[in-house]
Amino acid sequence: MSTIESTKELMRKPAKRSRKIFIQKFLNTGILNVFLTILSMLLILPFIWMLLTSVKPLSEVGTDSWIPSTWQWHNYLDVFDAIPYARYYCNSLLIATWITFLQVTTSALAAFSFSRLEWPGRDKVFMLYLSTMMLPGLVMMIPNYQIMIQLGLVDSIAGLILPGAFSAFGTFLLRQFMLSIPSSLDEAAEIDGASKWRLFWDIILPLSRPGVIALAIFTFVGNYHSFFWPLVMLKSQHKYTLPIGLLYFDSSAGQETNLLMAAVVMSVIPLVFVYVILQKQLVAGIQLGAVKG
Amino acid sequence: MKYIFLSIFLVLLLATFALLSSYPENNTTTPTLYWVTDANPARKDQVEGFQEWLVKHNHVNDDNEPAVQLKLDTANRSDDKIIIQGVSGIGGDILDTYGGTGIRFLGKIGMLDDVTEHAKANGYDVSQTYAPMKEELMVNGKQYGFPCNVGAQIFWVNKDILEEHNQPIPSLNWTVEEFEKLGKAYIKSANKPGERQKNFYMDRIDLILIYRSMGFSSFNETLTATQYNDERFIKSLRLLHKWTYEDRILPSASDIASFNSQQGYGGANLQLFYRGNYAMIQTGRYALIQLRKFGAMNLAAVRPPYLDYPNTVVGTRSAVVYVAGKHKEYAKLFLAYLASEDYNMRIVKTADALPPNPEYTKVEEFLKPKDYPNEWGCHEVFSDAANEIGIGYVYSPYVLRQQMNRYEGDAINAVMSNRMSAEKAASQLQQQVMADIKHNVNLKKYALPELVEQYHKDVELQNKIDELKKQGKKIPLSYIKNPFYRKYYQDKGMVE
Amino acid sequence: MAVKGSKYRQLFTGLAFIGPNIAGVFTFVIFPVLFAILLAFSNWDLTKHNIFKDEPLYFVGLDNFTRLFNEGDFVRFLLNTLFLMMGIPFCVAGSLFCAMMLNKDNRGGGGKIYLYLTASALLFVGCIMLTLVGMGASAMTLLLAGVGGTVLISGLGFGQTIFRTLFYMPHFTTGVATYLLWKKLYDPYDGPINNVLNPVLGYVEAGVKVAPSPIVYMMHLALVVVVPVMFAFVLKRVYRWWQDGDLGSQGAFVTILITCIPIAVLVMKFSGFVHWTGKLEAVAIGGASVVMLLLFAIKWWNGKPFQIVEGMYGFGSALAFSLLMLVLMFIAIGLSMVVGNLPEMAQSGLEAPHWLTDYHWAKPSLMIMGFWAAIGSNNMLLYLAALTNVPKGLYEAAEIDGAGRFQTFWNVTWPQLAPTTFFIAVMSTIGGLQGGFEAARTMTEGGPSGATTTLSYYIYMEGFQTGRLSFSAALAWALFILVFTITLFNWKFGNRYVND
Repeated sequence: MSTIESTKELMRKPAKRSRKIFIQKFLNTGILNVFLTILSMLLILPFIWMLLTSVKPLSEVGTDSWIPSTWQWHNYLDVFDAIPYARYYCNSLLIATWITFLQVTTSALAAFSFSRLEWPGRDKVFMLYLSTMMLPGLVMMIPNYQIMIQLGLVDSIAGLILPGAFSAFGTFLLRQFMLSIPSSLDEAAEIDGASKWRLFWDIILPLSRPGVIALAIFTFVGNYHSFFWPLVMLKSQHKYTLPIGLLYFDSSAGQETNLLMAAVVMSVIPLVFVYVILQKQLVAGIQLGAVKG
Repeated sequence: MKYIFLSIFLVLLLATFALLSSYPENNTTTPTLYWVTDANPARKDQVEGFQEWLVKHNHVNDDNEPAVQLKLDTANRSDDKIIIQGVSGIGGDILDTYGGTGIRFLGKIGMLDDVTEHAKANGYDVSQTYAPMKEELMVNGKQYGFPCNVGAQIFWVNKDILEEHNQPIPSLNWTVEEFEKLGKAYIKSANKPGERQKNFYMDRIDLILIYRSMGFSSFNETLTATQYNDERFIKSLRLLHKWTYEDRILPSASDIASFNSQQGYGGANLQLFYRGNYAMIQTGRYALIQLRKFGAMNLAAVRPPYLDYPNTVVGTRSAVVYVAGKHKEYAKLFLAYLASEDYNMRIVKTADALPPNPEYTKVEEFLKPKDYPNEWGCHEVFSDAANEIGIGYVYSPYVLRQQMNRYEGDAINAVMSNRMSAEKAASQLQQQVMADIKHNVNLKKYALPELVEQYHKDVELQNKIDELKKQGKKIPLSYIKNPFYRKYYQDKGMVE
Repeated sequence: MAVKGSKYRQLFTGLAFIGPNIAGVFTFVIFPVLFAILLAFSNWDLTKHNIFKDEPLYFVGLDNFTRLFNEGDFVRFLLNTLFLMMGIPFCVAGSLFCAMMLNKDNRGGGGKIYLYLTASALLFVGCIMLTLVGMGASAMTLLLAGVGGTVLISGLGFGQTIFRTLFYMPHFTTGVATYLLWKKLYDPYDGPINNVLNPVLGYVEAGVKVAPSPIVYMMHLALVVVVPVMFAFVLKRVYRWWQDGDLGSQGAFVTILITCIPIAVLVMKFSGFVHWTGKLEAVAIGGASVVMLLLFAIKWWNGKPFQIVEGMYGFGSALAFSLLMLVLMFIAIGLSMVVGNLPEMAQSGLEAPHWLTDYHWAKPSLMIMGFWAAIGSNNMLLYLAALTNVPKGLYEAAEIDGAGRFQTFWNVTWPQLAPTTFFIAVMSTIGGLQGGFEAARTMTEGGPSGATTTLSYYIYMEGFQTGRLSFSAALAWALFILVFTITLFNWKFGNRYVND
């Protein structure tokens, strides 16, 4: 009897405890969720204000109420009349994509050479590469500009693309990634009689895909935001990129805050797009870059 | 992977070609001039005028069209961009510069074309414009540009708002004491107690107007040194501070910030002037471009109040020719156009500051524009001021003016935001500028020998002047290089 | 075995792959760097040497560098940069906090709990919306509540992804576009921030006017007392580290010296010794020396065998700790002054700050914006990854030991995250030293009167506004030397922490 009792006791106790734990867990996670919501609301408040202001009539911009009395969607179209927005958009996207493409290509080639090939002086050259990563870009600003003058590339799209097309950081990032690919593959390929080019093009590059995508995202986003170099280099308005073009709304000629906000919303959209599609690779890439910075 | 690579490459190539071919092409065979200027609507009219002028003076091509096409470039107006593009060989053909600062700096870089000879031959040398302009346009005897317009700093008065509050309209010449008294009375009657003050007597007063009216200039007579440690300079800083914070005649920086954030084209202060937030504004005649759009106002114009010596500052926006421009000959023609009747009468009509040629300030259209009887009596205030009491800015060959402006702005700002006493700001400013001058002339590596030589000569001259001043003797006019002192000493009878 | 030919062949293949990249890196990185070194030691000025002019260039030795220190502007703008960098510890702490929140399971482990959670969230949101509608709340409140509700429910639905995305958005979009957005947000009279702040300040004003002045004064004093308490805390910590041999004597002195600065400020404020004003460093150094002597005295008095280590050993973490405390102490001092002055300020009417147009508020405004952009940045993602890598066994062990939440964090999580923190600290410091150009050019133009001019903006101004290219290059190298020193410093004193 006592054994039955005690088994009953044993059976009842966990049930009670688990209910307690259940409630506690429920409350904890509930509070966590509410807390996370409040925090993220605080962070996106500026965006909410931006979205609402972008559809306001001009006269309501500075008022206390965030909600427009009439939803003026044609603000988005008006941006295209106020400045050659479509052109800036195309320029920005094209320049950023070109830089991304070239940088990924050259970096992948160099990374392959640094990680898979044996050649005399390789490690010394690599150290040189690494050491340039520590230099602030500002040091190179004036000399690079003088080079552009000499090459006659000022105020040209090529002048914007070329300096961005070669990167020590990209090489470093992809080298790290390629080092993690097992070297037995190389030997197998060699036995098959594949050339180094085939090894790179058919085996290593496809296997480095996550690293390549991560580098591509970094480069694209970085150059889409790029402000300093285009500011210095560009003269003709039809070659302007978005960040430079948006400055119009900061001048005395363009005081329409609602149009500015519409323009900002549209300029941010490609980034949101990139992030939503590629966030997994992005997170992986950030960790890769930090492995040994 | 490789197909992705290749296809991206192809798409990029195609997109690039598409984009490049969509760039606006210049199909016409007529050469194009670019005029880098501000986004003022009056520029379009001035451009049209140039095309007509070209035809009139027979600068045409075979089809009897203007031989050159003038286009506006308003996106590259900022100073840093003008410099950057100038030294890259891609500057605009005609550049707008403000006064002598730009002309001196760009000239030093070698970006500007010397137009002295061309000006004499085509009737736009410095004798064709106001006397103070000579200092602005000429460096070492070479002329580098011609004014697009000339502006004397004068106070516009909103008569309606003064009358509404039963305040008198100031007289043409008035003292600082009167200014202070009237200002305080106006502020009292125009603002309700207990509310944020929204109405001010003036929008701003440049410090230079205050200290110059005490017979003080930031440079000494020979431009070899600044003299900010002077009590007159400190007094002017204190006055400005007092008017802003104690008397509240002038708005503080945050008052202005609050006004500026309200929308509207161009200078917000004009709109505020029209609405009565400012009873007066310190600006040039070009304010009329905007004011006329707002509607008829009851206007008056008065000279800046003075302490001891009535005078005002004359500035200019002048056009210069870029030395590496492709069509320099035509660009120089544009300067000739600026001196022509066509252009000047346009300026007279659109009220874009003063016409560069003073001849056109005597015509009926200037003095009494038919459509704007409310402005009658104001226009001559500007032209008379430029001719009689106007003095240009002072530039020293031994220090960069823009650097000095930055130091000066910082010092004024420090005093106006209560971070520094006027004495300390003045002595710090003096130290900064003198350190620059010392650097610029003392090292042969930084200065050309000619400049160093000239500097030492000037210093000697300055010693002589100081000696003469001490003895109370008159100073030979030829000693004085500072245009302010030249006029001041002449007016005070202190030169021989 | 390698034949000579094959070696050349190897070299050739190696270089063929690296060729395109190395050509570019040479043209656009290495050559410019060499050029910039020459530039910094020459007298190249745009007014002397450019495509139109060819006046002789001279080698001027260290002139540009000596000038940099004589001119005063460099130091001033360096201080601006350092001031703006004071926000970095908060950004890192914020990122860590966010990462820890996101690392928790927000669905309660799924199953029944998750069902209950979702149901009650729906109920909760529905009730709030209904109540708000019933109360006749404004459209804006409804909208905000609606968005919040959507975030909550979708957060439950999609899990952490949705929160992570929202946290990350500010960082991902930061650029000229968001700078212009913030410029509008900061607008002193029309901006939404002050539109919200002004009524709030109105209530505070009314409250202060009603509250009896002793209460306000007590609050002021309480905040003042917090500062010495924090100082005592620092002393305790440092003493412990020093005693345990985790920190060298010189290192201890420097850390104490740093935290003495706010104490010196307080002393000077309350002592009434007017002639002390302006001798802050003397007071701080004196105070720190006295404290060190006292510590030595205690050691000697106790006569216990200490593991005293001389030198700067263990300096890195102690420095980071003392800097953080320094900032916190200054915040306490600032708050106490604000509270102390409240009655006076309320009399003349409280007004919201003018943010970017106010000399004193411009820098904090940029720091707040930086915090917004940095809290959910890459740093958060790095922390998130590092947190998932912490062995679960460690937490279990801590739980068995009966460690509290804070203890678990301090003894388990924090040491495990040390390498990540170190990496983030180095990268943020480097970034901070070089940053500020874009914000300065688009938002403030370096003003008001130079308040937001950072080194990078100064370099730009010198290069392209006054045309002094050599001086600008010298500035850039000075900046590089700073970055380099800090990196070296970090490696030297931070490594110990990482290798644990």
